[in-house]
Amino acid sequence: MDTPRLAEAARHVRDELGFNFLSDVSAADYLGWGEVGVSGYIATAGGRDLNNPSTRGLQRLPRPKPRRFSLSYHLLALRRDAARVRLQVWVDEGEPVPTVVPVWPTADWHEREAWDLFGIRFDGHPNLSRILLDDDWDGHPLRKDYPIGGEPVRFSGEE
Amino acid sequence: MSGSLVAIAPERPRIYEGSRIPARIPSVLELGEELRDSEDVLRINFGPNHPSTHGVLRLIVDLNGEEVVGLAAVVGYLHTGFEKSMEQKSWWKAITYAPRIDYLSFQQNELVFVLAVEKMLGIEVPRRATWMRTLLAELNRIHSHLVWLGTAGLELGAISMFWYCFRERERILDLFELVAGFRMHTRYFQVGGLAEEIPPGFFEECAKFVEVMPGAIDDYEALVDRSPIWLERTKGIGLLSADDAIALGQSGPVLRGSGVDWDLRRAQPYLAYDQVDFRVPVYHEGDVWARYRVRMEEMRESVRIVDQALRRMPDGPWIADDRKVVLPPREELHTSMESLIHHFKIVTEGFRVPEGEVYVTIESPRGELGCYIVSDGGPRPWRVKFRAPSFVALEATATCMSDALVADLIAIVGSLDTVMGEVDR
Repeated sequence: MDTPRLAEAARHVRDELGFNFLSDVSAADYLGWGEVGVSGYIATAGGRDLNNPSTRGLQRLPRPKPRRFSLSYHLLALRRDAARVRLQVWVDEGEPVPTVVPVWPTADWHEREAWDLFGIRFDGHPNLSRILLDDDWDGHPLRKDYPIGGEPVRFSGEE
Repeated sequence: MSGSLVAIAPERPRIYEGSRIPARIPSVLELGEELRDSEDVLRINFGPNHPSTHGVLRLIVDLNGEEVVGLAAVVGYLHTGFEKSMEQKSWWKAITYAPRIDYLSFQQNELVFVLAVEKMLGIEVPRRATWMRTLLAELNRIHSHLVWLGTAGLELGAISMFWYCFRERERILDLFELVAGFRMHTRYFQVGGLAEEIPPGFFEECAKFVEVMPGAIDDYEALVDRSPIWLERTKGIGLLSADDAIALGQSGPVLRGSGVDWDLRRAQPYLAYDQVDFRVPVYHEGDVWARYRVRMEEMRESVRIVDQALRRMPDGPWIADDRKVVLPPREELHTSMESLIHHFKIVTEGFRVPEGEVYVTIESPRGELGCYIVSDGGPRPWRVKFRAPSFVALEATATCMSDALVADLIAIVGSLDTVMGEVDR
């Protein structure tokens, strides 16, 4: 889905299709996606038959993704059929996403979390600040280029 | 019936007119214009270290005398980066992280992650494992509600409640120890089924527990259910209407305490929930008392589910027979070269999960617990995200807190049943 039309789409699925419950906003970083070679036991996309020897050793790289980040809005309709739908938008580094807080107030903290951990900016969010990390934290740790174990340890005796 | 909205009970009186969600920022109760320059308003930090915050929750509270006129929740003091850590581990090692996220409903967290991986793999779980998972998930629900009842009671002055609740909690932990070897963070659910065969003697011990538990719940009710102090502190406090609860993404007992008849175990049955008989308690008051009542009745229903699971526990294998995912039986390692290779590959490299993304949700004791995973086809998760019901529950504090006194604040935060480990992940 196109990012600029997200707010419009959100209103449509809430008001016309009845998805009144925003379950989650999940961000993912696809930097380096598909660059690591995969080998070994791989399932096939259509019908899994792992125990068939012929599927062993099949090399397949994952399909490329359109942009670096994905944002998935997992929605639920509180009705008998309990329908679920996922709205997904793709964003590049630094590209802002329109907020859905006016549509689903619960998005407030979910969007703050995506900003905190991935650095995805939300246009129109009333209070876009870090939520899980300190306000003066450097970088966005769930990005794939954030080093593991690289965070400075305070009062470690070396300062 | 498909398509019709689940009952928000139109015939019931409305809890309040309109919406109480704060206008600008939904999760922050801002000081009113007339109080902004008032010298009577005192801004205090409630927490992060306060016995009644169930961990390390910090609330910035504006008090006008006894009245709470402003509130903002600050979280993140327990952030441990579980999701990032899980990306570094193979799929089956990552299971170990999941229970530690919510240390009161550990098996539910384990379960949702394992279910998500199984959905990606398209693996079929044997019936015995499914029923055992149902049984343990319900024991875990009782365990979590007991800790909630004990601590929430303690905060409101019902000190003896804590000892009674921990008496039964101890029995549940003993059962977990019997079945998995650990009292908490059992890691008993394995992709494809269970990690081990159910040990002999477990069902007998569990049946004893099922016999005792309803009487114990009677004890708790005898302690507080008619206590004027308890009723005074819980009734009409922390109001949240059904519409506001849905808009704020509330789930579990908070949503059902606001009059929405919604339970994922019934709406989207997973495990063996479509084959057991249970009732979903719903209360329409939308206050602390309603949430307390929902949890009490849920414990009774959970005991019934455990009982049914005990009676109907099928025989058969406890883990799927899929050698590319599941460890081969120990004894085969000495006789079969193929098994040895499989064992080596799974232990060192881990099994691979097909490329894709899934979002799986279950009804944890705190509500809708979701797990979103992305795989690139490799042996490690590309991304794991937990939808933590506690995290969302805290967003409702500002809405519940309108017209509250400082003493109510403790009752309200307690009634939302947040586990800070899960909030901060």
